[in-house]
Amino acid sequence: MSDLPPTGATIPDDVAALLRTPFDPVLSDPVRLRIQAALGGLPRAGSMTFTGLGKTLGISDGNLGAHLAVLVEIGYVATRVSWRGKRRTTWYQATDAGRAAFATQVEALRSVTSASTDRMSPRPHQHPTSPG
Amino acid sequence: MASDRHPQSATDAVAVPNPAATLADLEAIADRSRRSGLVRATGWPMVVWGIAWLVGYVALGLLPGPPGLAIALTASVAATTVTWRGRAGTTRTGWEPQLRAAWVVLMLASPLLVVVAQPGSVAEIALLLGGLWALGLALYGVASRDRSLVALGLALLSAATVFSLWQHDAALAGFGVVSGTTMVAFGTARTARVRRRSPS
Repeated sequence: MSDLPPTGATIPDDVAALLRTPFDPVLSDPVRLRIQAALGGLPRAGSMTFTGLGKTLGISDGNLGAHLAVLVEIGYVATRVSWRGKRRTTWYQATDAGRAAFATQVEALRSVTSASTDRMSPRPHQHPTSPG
Repeated sequence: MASDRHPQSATDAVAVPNPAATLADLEAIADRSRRSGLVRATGWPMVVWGIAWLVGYVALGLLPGPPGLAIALTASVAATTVTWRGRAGTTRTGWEPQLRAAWVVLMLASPLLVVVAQPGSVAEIALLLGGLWALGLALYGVASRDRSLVALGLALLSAATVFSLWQHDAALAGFGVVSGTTMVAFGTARTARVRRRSPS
């Protein structure tokens, strides 16, 4: 990463380190992040159907299906099939890797929010203004 | 005045639009997801069972003998059938098999406990079972980390206690009205709350 000019803001070292860490490229997409949030809200053994996810998130089936496929391929979401007579249902469940990636992404977002709030708050030392 | 804007600062390098709003949205989604699992088991099924308790206990209280017992049993079988057939929802908590097994154990143990307690009348038997099943509801709430359900179960158990102490012919019917309407209100409120927060 290139050297950054001094900002004058006081960002804690741990926050700065976290801000330099790239965000998860898979979960940087807002739809996939929301999918992971929906599945992460359930207990570890919990799962949801495609219809349930669509209702919870309020997004179209096509959009949901495309993003779910990515999450399944990357290993953040696992699938399980159940049968009730001849009716087949696919259940989607957040994996441990998915839960960990989501937690890291949320933590990074919280750090950005926290850093932004700190920059807006009054600083103890003011920079001298230029003559004009 | 010197500008304090630096185009290559660490925060500008992160392409995340309004993270605070994103975090709030994620929290709301997780909450909706968590609640959808609760409603499937304790939303509309609670309404069904509340009606069954209302009908059953009132019948037992107002129609002594076989007619009241027949109505109470019919209401129980109907509620069991309806809630069992409707158990397939869109959300699972993963605890369903264990909790279902726990309820089966409770139902099988109920008549045995009646024999052990040897209550003196139909009213005492009915209130004992009502209290036992209310306790089961509270324990279900403990197992599923549903504090509202724990409170409901304990409230119903308290009602069974109060009505068992009230030596009156209307005790059973009174318990039926109080417990049944409470369960219906609980299930209705829970179902309505999730539907109100759903984005669709």
